[in-house]
Amino acid sequence: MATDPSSLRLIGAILTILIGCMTLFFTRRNDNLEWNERLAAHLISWILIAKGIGNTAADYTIRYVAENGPVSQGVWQLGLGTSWMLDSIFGIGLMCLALVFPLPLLRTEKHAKIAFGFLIGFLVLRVAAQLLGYGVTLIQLPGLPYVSSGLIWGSVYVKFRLMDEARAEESSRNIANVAGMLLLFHAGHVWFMWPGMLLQAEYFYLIEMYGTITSMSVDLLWQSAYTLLIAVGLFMCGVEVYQWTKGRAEVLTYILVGYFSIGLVGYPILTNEVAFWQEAGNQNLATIWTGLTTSMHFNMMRPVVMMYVILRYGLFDTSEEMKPKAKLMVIILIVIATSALLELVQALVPMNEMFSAAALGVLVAFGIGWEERSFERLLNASKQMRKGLDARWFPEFPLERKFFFRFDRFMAIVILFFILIAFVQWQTNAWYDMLLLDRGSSWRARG
Amino acid sequence: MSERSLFEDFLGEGASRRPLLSLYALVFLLMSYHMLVFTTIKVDDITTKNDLAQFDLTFQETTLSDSDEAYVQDQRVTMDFEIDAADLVAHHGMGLLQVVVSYSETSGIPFDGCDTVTAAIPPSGPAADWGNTNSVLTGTSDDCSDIVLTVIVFPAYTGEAMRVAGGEASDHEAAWSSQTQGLGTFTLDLDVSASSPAPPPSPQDDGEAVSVTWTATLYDVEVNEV
Repeated sequence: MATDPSSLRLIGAILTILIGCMTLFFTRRNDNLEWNERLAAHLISWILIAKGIGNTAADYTIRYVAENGPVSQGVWQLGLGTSWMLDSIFGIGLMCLALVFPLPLLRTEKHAKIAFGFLIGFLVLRVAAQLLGYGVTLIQLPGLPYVSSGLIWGSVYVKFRLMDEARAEESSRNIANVAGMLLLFHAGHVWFMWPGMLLQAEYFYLIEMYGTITSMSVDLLWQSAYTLLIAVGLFMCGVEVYQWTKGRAEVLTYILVGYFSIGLVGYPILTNEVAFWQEAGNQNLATIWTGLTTSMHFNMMRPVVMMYVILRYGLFDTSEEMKPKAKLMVIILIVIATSALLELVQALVPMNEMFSAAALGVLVAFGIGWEERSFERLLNASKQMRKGLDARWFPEFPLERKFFFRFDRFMAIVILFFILIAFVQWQTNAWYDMLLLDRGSSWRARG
Repeated sequence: MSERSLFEDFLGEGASRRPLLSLYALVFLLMSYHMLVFTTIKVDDITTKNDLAQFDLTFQETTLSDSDEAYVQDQRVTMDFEIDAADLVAHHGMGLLQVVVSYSETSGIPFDGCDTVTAAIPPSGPAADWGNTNSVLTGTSDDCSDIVLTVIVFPAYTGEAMRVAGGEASDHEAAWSSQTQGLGTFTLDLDVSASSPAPPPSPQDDGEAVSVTWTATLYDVEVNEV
């Protein structure tokens, strides 16, 4: 078993792609979804597939650059380009998702046209800016997906978590939970940084998106988005603690309290030394901590949280006919997730191969045992999101099945097209030129 | 389709109106705080975070010398010079090796000119920057002038001070430290082509006394942040 952080990143990427493909497979056969749930399921599938491929490419780039440096004409540019382009799908896909799930915010066809038109335009703008060699600039509105997720899911969460209509209690609780979970999926890693933001730590204020290529204004915008997420997260955490005291704790309660507590513990560790998530390994305490928190969120929590949302809120077809297949898939995911967990421990605390193999066996058995008991409970849990709520919250859009098949085809083509663009960027040395990599190379060249 | 707008539904009267407004107030408050810190309190740290530190590197040199002498006739003579670990351990590394081959016409025969002496250091043995353009591995003399050969042992070493950007002082010190470059035995091949002023039976020049001076330059690098 490999012990480097790369293995963890790769397992996380594979897990993400697998969940995306599974969601697509089971959603296409699910006839019991409302239009917004179906659209959300398809969006989630492609968000995960794009992110998984992007993460695989990012992993390759990190390893290549670590070994060879960011050399001119290097294939690292293909990896970085692919990761960057597919991250646009991830970010903008989540913006689309926030508009329709768990609560459709688009109430008329006109709203839908304006919103999706803007988002497609935004995607085109980002791609065009890359092709023209602008790098990461203010015009690409970096951080906008975070702002959108934070404001929309944060508002939906607060609105429905504190709704006092008894007849709609079940639905409003489910809507709030989904909104909270999706925000956790997107922004959980940012919530670890909350003490750094408040106490003016370098690990928050000196962060940059992409090395040294971004201007101060881009950094400001990016950090502002993080700050918004931290504000929303702190508020949500307060609401959950309040609900906990009232005996209304949910899974989200424990996760949120856990994330914010971890952030607090991490403050003294990270203020002494800055660590980057991609360096997760056993070099020093700060890097170990980053491996256990940020890398853990990216590689393990994101796929697991999304799998939970998909299963718990009925986006899978779990009819009697499909249940065995769904179960098999979940078992595969658990095996991968368990080995990823062990991989993380291996990366941090190197241990004997025999011991790690035995530990893997025990953990997998435990995971499958958990699955047996929990699968039924998850499937039988309340998925109700409309019961008792006014119909105005759920406008109807006549979206035919045909639309979703076309959407899937379109997304597959877009992903391939984006990889092609990354290939062209590699061939034209575009990333190397954008990153101005002559900086600091005088001493690195000796190494 | 609803008659009420989304904003009315969210912010209209109800139990969650006040918490929602509180959420937006907290967002506004923290974003204003962040803006203040970013643009005023920590602005100096932020604007200079990408400035690469600059370092002056200077090299304190120590030389290690040895000399050999040989009478070289019309056949090849090989000489050795060994650097062992004990020579290197007190220094950051070995920068270069200089070999000076000297000779003069010693036959005593009237009108006998200088012989032709060829010296060569084969690029084998110790680790060195054998391909460096400043390395001079062969030389010939036919006028009794010295032959000076140079092997750049540590890659790109010149002994001159330099300024570099980026990294930490320890990075640069580590980059210029090596206990393996130059470790081992260097060899020198000497050939003499003796010439006499007249053919036999006149007296013949049958060789040359050649002296060789080996000078190894060991260095200690000093790194100072500018």
